[in-house]
Order: sequence, then structure tokens, then C-alpha cells
Amino acid sequence: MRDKKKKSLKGQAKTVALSLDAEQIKGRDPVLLFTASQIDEVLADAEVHPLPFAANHLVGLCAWREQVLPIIDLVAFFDLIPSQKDKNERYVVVRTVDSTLLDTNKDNKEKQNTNKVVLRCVLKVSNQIISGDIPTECTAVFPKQAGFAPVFLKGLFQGEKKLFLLPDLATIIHSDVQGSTT
Amino acid sequence: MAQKAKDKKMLNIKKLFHSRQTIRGKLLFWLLIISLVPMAVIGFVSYNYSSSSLQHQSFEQLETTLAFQYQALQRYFDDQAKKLENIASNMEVFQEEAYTKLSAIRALQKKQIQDYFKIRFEDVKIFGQNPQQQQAFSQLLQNADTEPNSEFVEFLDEWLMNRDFASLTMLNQDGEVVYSTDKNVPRGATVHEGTSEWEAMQKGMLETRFIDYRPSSFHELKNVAYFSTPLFSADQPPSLLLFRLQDHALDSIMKEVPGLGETGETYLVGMDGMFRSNSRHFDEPTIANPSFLVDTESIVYALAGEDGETSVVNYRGDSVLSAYTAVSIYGVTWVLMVEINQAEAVIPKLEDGKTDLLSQLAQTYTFSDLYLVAPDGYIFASAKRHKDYLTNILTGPYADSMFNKAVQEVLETQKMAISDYAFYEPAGGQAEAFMAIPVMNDDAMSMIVALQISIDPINDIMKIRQDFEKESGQAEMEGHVEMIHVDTYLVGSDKLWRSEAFNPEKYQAKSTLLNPKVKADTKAVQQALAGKSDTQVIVNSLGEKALTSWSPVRYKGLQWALISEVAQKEVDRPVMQLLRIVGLLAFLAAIAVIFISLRVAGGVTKQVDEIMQGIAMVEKGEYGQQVKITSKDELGQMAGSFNQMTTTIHDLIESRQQEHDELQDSIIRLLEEITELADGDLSIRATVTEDVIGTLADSLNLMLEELGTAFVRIKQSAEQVGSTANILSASTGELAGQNNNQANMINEAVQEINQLTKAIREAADQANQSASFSRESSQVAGEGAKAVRETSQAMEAIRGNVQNTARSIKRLGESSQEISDFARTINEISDRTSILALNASIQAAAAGEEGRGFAVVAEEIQRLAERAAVSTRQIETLIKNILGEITEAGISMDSSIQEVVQGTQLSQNALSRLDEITERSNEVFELIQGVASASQQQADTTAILATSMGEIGSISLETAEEAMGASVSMQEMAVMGDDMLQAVATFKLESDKKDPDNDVLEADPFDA
Repeated sequence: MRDKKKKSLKGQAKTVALSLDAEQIKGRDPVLLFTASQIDEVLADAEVHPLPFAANHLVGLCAWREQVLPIIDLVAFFDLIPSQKDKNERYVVVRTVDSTLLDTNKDNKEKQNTNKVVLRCVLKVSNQIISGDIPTECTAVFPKQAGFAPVFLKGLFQGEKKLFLLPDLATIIHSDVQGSTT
Repeated sequence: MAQKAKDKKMLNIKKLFHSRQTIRGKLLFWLLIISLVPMAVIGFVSYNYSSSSLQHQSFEQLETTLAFQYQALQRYFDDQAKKLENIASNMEVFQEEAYTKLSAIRALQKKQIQDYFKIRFEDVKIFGQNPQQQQAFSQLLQNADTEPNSEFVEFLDEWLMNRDFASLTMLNQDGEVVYSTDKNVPRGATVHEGTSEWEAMQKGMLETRFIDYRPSSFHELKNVAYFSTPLFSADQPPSLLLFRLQDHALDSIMKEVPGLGETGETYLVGMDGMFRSNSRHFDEPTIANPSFLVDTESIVYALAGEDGETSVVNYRGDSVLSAYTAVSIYGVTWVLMVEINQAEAVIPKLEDGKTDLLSQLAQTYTFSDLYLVAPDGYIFASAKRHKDYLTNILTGPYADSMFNKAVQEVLETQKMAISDYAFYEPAGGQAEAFMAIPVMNDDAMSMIVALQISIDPINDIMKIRQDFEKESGQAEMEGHVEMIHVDTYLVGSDKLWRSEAFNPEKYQAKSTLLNPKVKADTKAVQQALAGKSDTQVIVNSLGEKALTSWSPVRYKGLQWALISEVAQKEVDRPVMQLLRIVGLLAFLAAIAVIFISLRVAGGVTKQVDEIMQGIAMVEKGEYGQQVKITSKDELGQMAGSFNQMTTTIHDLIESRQQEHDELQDSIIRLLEEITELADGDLSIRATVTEDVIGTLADSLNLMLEELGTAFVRIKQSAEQVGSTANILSASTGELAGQNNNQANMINEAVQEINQLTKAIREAADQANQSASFSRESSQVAGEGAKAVRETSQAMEAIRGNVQNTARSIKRLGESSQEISDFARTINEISDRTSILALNASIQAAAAGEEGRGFAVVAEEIQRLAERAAVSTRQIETLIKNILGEITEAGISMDSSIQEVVQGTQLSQNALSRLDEITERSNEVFELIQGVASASQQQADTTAILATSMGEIGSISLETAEEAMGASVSMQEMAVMGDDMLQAVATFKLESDKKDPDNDVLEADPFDA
């Protein structure tokens, strides 16, 4: 039996752009950028269960496929200014991989064991969701310049009309502080 | 002749019975009735009275017997229960004493064990601290190949032996054997993890410790215990000395314990359930032997820190009384158990050493058997030791017996229980019942005392019926003693007998006790089992009527029926004999009555026959015949009277004949004289004789005289009538002429009145014309109102139509709203479709090359969804516009409706005005109508008046005509009076004979 040739997928990765319901940053609309494999589902309707005494960016919890996931509003997390337009919000289930250490003794390098854990959360975004190719015509921006804490972003790129944010969801989920530098 | 007479007599006798019309027959019948009926009544009353008295007496005695037997049964069961309670309380006392003894032994042994281990501990500790031992062992440590000297070895052996240690082993800090007195433990052997040596190394390197039994590193498949102590030296690392405890170290304490009898023992158990001492009942060592495990509840309680006494089933499966406690030995906890067999504890042997208390009690109280049962159902003691001894009554071979039921009930209720009788195989298949009672120890049941009851006492109680028979059942008749057999018996809830019948053969069985062939399912049994008592005549199980008394017998769980019965026919026997005697007497009396009545009747009927013959002769007309007198009683007197009567009748007939002839002659003579009278000669007179005819003649003569006088008067009156008629005729002629004048004057008056009537009619016609004009104006006003009304109705119709139109427009609006809702739904669907397409495209993107085709499909779906969204948005816009226009139309409709309402209001006002006009016109019309009608009436009245006057005129004319007629009649009357005179003149009267020339005088017209 001949082996099937695996075609290279380099340069053909699909992305999903999720617009945020926020005012423009540096004259551009803020958009979250994820790979298609990171998006599990766009929810048609989500039953939000609020959490008392939770942080502002934690909207609540919702049930998804026998799991309980936190709902995170990145507009509140990054302390952006919410948009004044009519709000048509969507909830998107996003996953990420988190690496955790078994051995808490970090000095003992020989005996460190790492384990990768899949984390999921629900992001509250606008109804502008576009699936397409990687936007190649954009330039990198240092997060602090745009008012973002670098630790929470894997990357920040500005295009002609949009500002693409690549959030580090694992860090955001584990964090108990806000993600802006202000 | 004789034969004929005989036949005749027979015929008469037959007639006597066939026909009741003869006196003889009647006499016979009524005499029989009079004599036999009272006898029958007396016999019947006597039978009933004596039967009921006998029955009543029998009932009383049955009830008395029943009550006596019931009391006897109650007493018997109460007696048994009391005995059982006494035995149980004795058992409880013995049990308490046993527990006290066990507790004392437990405390003593615990102290002994703790002291022993304390001593061993100190020994080991001191040994380890001894400098000489330290030095000796240090040398061993320095040089692994060195052997200790023989003196030291000897010393060690003796030291170990005196202290119940099996060996001494030295370990270095690495767990290797440096030295051991046990040849089976080689040098250099290492300790394995999880063994007792290993634990000793973990715990004992700093201080002396006691290590509980565990598997050994050096002895395969063996558990060992150590005392360990560390060995310190200045220049050497610390090492460990292990002193292994002998298996029999505690035997002297545990095995030899006085006061525990043959079955008692004490033993130690570790937390793992294995023995920590050797059992006195097994030659094989039980210490740390996994073949002997103890897992009773008391182990758990003791390890939890409780001391207690209880009854349990021990490791050997025996029911024992047990006292337990925990013993702590330098951090190790063991459980000390002190036990003795329950049977040995509560059943002491008597002085002879052979018999025990249980057997003696059973013998004394004549129990079939007496048991002690453990709470798990095990029969651990029995007086008679039948097949059920040492079996489990709850789960064993006799688990289906009544014994099981009694024990189960005691376990459930913790109170005394009694089971019913049933055949019990260990008792030789005899019918036995069981009574059981629990023995408690601190609210927990420690055992059950049960006794087995035979059926014999019950049968003895039932034999009380024989006394009844002796008292009241005997009836002597002609030298025989008649016994009335009474059956008293017990029946259980299963309808089977619980006693033996007096005569089982009557029930076609050898024995009635628990015999399913002899089921007693009668009314008495049913009622008694239902809890009722009564005494009645019912049908018993043999199908015969019996006087029966019944009552329930209830004792704890027992539910029986106590029946006492005697057959009805046996009770009624003396009454039946009496009935037979009375019947015989009645028969003899009947025969005597028949004989006597025949004799008496014969004498009576002979005289009657003679009289009957005489009457027959008289019927024929032979009055001379005399009747023969055959008796001197009333009938003979009647015959004599009959003869006199016939003689008198004969004489009377002859005298009457003579009188008849004389009378006939007188009648002929009278007839001749009446013939002459018929010719008109009223002067004739009949001959008066002395007989009846003479009276008749006399009356005739009187009549003739009166008749002559009347004719004279008639003659005179006729003459008067003629003269009066002539005078009246002249008067009536004058009256007729005057009446004609009156009639002419009335006619003239009538003509005047007619003219008046005509004038009044003309006035009435004019009034009618006015009324018609008024009516026309009223009609016109009505037509106007009608037109206005129609106008108003038309406007109402218009308003209705407008309202309907408004409603239609509203519905249209609602439909538009529904369309809008549908559009919204479509919008949502398109929205969801869009999300679905998005998800699909995302998944397709994640799938890579394989998902390309799917991504195309997803894109297409998304485009379709967008188009649908756009279309629904356009639809929504259109619907909004339509709704706006509908709203405007609705508003204009409303204003139209308002104007229509106003127009309707105005037409309503006009209508009301026209109605008023119509009303007024009608009133005018009515007034004029009234005037016209009054005029009409006046005209009619005058017309009537004229008519009346005309009639008066015609009446006057008629009167005149009638007067003329009367005059004519009077003339005719005068003519008739003349005719009458001529008619009377034909009769010849007696006065004529006296004065023949007398003329008729003229009557005075004023004579009445």
C-alpha cells in the first residue's frame, strides 16, 4: 500500500477573527485572532450564570457539552472602552493548551515533568466573526504601546483598519488581575 | 233380606262419609273435630314446650361446660407461662453470675499480662544498656567474621530461656544480621520490608520497643514478635537487638484459669484477628496462626476501648458468654477474651454430677422438653436431647416447625410467645406446641428459653364432658339407660381439631387430632374463630342438627375455637316418645268418637225420615194420612204436632167450599139488576143481602142516588149560561169600534217621528266625514315618521358597516403583526444558520485539506443565510409601512363612525317629533269619531221609537179584531147551553117520577 503524501499545510492555515464590542484603539477596530483549530464552537445561545463577587471581566459560567466554562469579557479584562453601537453579542468557545509542572521544585531540573492541559473558556465578542486566511499585510506592535500588559498577549499586529490581538488565554484564565497597563 | 239390609247399611255408611248433607254425616264430622282438634293442639303445645324446655336446659348445661373448660384451658396456659417465666428468671440469674465471674477473671488476667510484659520489657532494656553486652556485641560489629565466645553464648542461651525468649538477633544499621542465637538465621541476611524485623528497625533504633507479630524476614511463613532495643557504642554506628518471644510465653497465664469449667477459656487476639496466645482447646498452636481467626463483634468493641460482657458465637462456633477488654502493651493493643459456653454457664450440674438442672425441671414439670436457644437460633441446651438438639431451629432441618415460629416471634417481639400444636418429628411425630420467652442482658437478648407442650393436658381438659353426661345425659326408659353423647373439642384457625374426639369412629377416622380428613368448618367454628360466642342449633361437621355452644380461646398467639355440642335428635328423644304416646291416644279417641256418633246419629235420623214421608203425602194432597211417632223426644213431639196440623187443614177446606156456593148465587142476582141500570133507568135499586154481595148492592144504591142529584144541578146551570152569553156578546162589539180610532191616531205620530230620524242621520254623516279627514292627516304623520325611521335605520346600517370595516382593518393589522413575528422567526433561523455555517467553516478550516469541500458547503450556507436575513429585513420594513397605513385608516374610520352616530341622533329627534304629531292627530280623530257615533245613536233611537209607535198602532187594531171575535164566541156559547139542556132531558130521574111537569128555571147570572 502506498503511503499517502501529506501535503504541507504551511501558509494555508485558516484563522478566525472575532471583533470586540469596543471603541477603536489607535484608530483601528480591536479584533481577536485565533487559529481555526482553537475555536470549538460559536454558540447560538448561551445561558449565563453570573458569579457573585467575581472580577468584572468574569461575566459568569455557562454549561457546554457537560462542562462548566467561565465566560470572559476581554473588553473588561483589557479595560477597553465599550462601543456605543447596538450590541449584538456572541459567545465563542475557545480552547488553548496550558503547560503545567508536576514537580513544584523548579530547581530540580533533572526531575521536572511537564504535562500539557487543554483549557477552555467562553469569550464574549460581537457578532462580527470572520473566518479567513492569515492577514499577512500587518505590522507588529509592542503591547505596552497600545496599553496592553505583554504577559497576556502572544502578539499584537495592526492592519489597515483593524488591530489584531493574539491573547494568551491560559495566562488570562489563571490571572486574577486586569490585563491593561493603565 | 239380611244381605240387602247389610248392603243398605253399608251404602248408608258410605254416604255418611261421602256426603255431608246428612245429619249423621254432620254429626260425625263435628264430633270428630270437637274431640280430635283439642287433642292435637294439646299435643302440639306440649311437644313445643317440652322440646324448648329441654333445649334450653341443654343449652345452659353446654354453656356451663364450655365455660368450665375455657377456664381450665386459661389456667393451664397461665400455669405453663408462669413456670416458663420462673425458669427464664433463673437462667437470667445464672447468666448474671457467670458474667460476674468472667469479669473478675478478665481483670485478673489483664493485670497478669501487663505485668508480664512489663517485666520482659525491663529485662530487654537493661540488657541493651549493659556495658558488657554492649562491648561484646560491638566486637561482633567490628569484625563480621568473629564468633562470640562460648561462655557468652551459654550466658545468652540461659538468659533467653529464663525469660521466655526464643532467640536473640543483632542487626546493623543497614538491616543485616550480625549475629543470631537462632541457627536458622544466617549472618548477613537482610531484613525485608514489611516484616517485623523491618518494623523493629523503623521504630526501635532509638529506644526499646515491643514489636507485634508480623511475618518474619528470617522465618518463612511465620509470624514473630520481638522486643527490640538499640545498642549504642562510641565508635560504632548503632545496631539493634531483637529478642523473639516464645510462642508459648503466655501459656501459663492464658491456659490455666480456674473457674471456667470444661468449656471456658481466655485468649488474646491482635488487631489482625489472629491469636496472640494458644487456645486450650487445640493442641496445634494458635498463636499468630492465620488458620485461626477471630472476627466476633466483641473484638471491635474492645479495640474501640469498651469493656463489656455479651453472648456471642465464638471462633469455634459455640454460643458462649464472653467478657472482653483491650490490653495495651507498649503501643500494641490486643484484645483479651474470657469465655465460657452458655450452656455450661446457665445450666449447673446437680449434686449427682450426671443430671443437669434443665433435665430436672423438665421432669418435675412434666414438660415434653425444655430448650435453651441462642439468639441466632442455635439450640445449645435441651433436657431430652432429641434430634433437634444442637441444630439451628431457624435455618436447620426443623426450620419449618412451630418451634421455629415461636422462636421467631420471640426474636421479633422480645416477649413470650406460644405456637400452635403441630406434629413435631423430634418428638416422635407427636403433636406438640411450644412456648418461648427471652432472657435479656442489658436490653439485649442473650438466649431464649423454650418448652415443648404435649397435647395430653389439652385432651384431659376436654374430657370434662363425661361429667356432663353423668349429670344430665341419662334418660331411663323401660330399664335402658340412654346416654346423651356430648362432644367438646378444640379447633384451630386451620379448621383442624386440636383435641381427640370422644368417639373418633363417628368421624370415620382413627384420630381427629390435626387430621385433615376431619375438618370442622361449621358456623360455630367460624364464629368462634372470629371472636364470637353463642349457643344455637346449627348443622355440625357430620351434617346433623346439633345444639352447639361455642366460644373463642385466645392465648397470646393461639387462636382456637372451643365447641361443645350435642345432637338435636338425642336431646329430643324423650319428647319424641311423648309425641308417640299422644298420637296413640288420639287415634283411640278418634275410633271411639266415630262409634258413638254413628249410634247417636242413627237414633235422630229415623224420626226425621217418618216426618219427611208425611210431608210428601201432604204435597200430594192426602191430608188424611198420619205420621208414625217413633220417639218421645222433640222429634216425636214434632211428629204429633204434624198430625194435628193435617187434620185441621182438612176441616177448614170443607167449610170454605160451602161458603163459596152461597156467594155465587148472590152475584148472579146483582148482575141482573145492573143490566137494567145500564138501559138508563136510574130509579132502579139493588137487593141488599147479608153477605159480601149485599154490601156491594147497598153501595150501588147510594151511588145511584147521588148521580140523580147531580143531573138535576147540571140542568139548572145550563140554563144560566145561555142567558149570560147573550149579554157579553153585545158589550164586546162596542169595544172593537173604540180600538180602531186609537190605531189611526198612533199612525199619525209615527210619521212625525220618521221625519225627525232622517234629520239626525244627516248630522251623523257629516260628523263621519270630519272623522275621515282627521284620520287621513294622522296617516300622513305616520308615514312621515316611518320615513324618518327608515332613514335612521339606514344610518345605523352605515355605522355597522363602518365598524365592520374598522374591525377588518384591525384584523389586517394583527395579521400583519403575525407576519412580522414570522419574519422575526425567519430572521432568527437565518441568524442561527449563519452561526452554523460559521461553525462549519471553522471546523472545515481546522480539518485542513480534508475539510475543503465541507468549507465550500459552509460558505454557501452562509450566503443563503445572509440572503434570507436581507429578505426578512425588507419584509419587516414593508410590514412596518403597512401597519402605519392601517393605523391611519383606523383613525379615519373612527371619525366616520362618530359622524354617523351624530346623524343617527338627529334623525332620532325628528322621529320623536313626528310621533308626537301622529299621536295628536289620533286624538282628534277619536273625538270626531265619538261625535259621529253619538249622532248615529240618536238617529237609531228615534227610528226605534217610530217603530214602537207603529207596533202600538197595530196592536190596537188587533185588539179591536179580538174583541169582535169574543162577541162572536159569546153567541156560540149561548147556543151550546141550549144543546146541553136538550141532552140532560133524556135521563129519567127519581124526581121526575115525583113531579113530571117541573120546567127548567133560568139561572141567575150572578150565581156562583
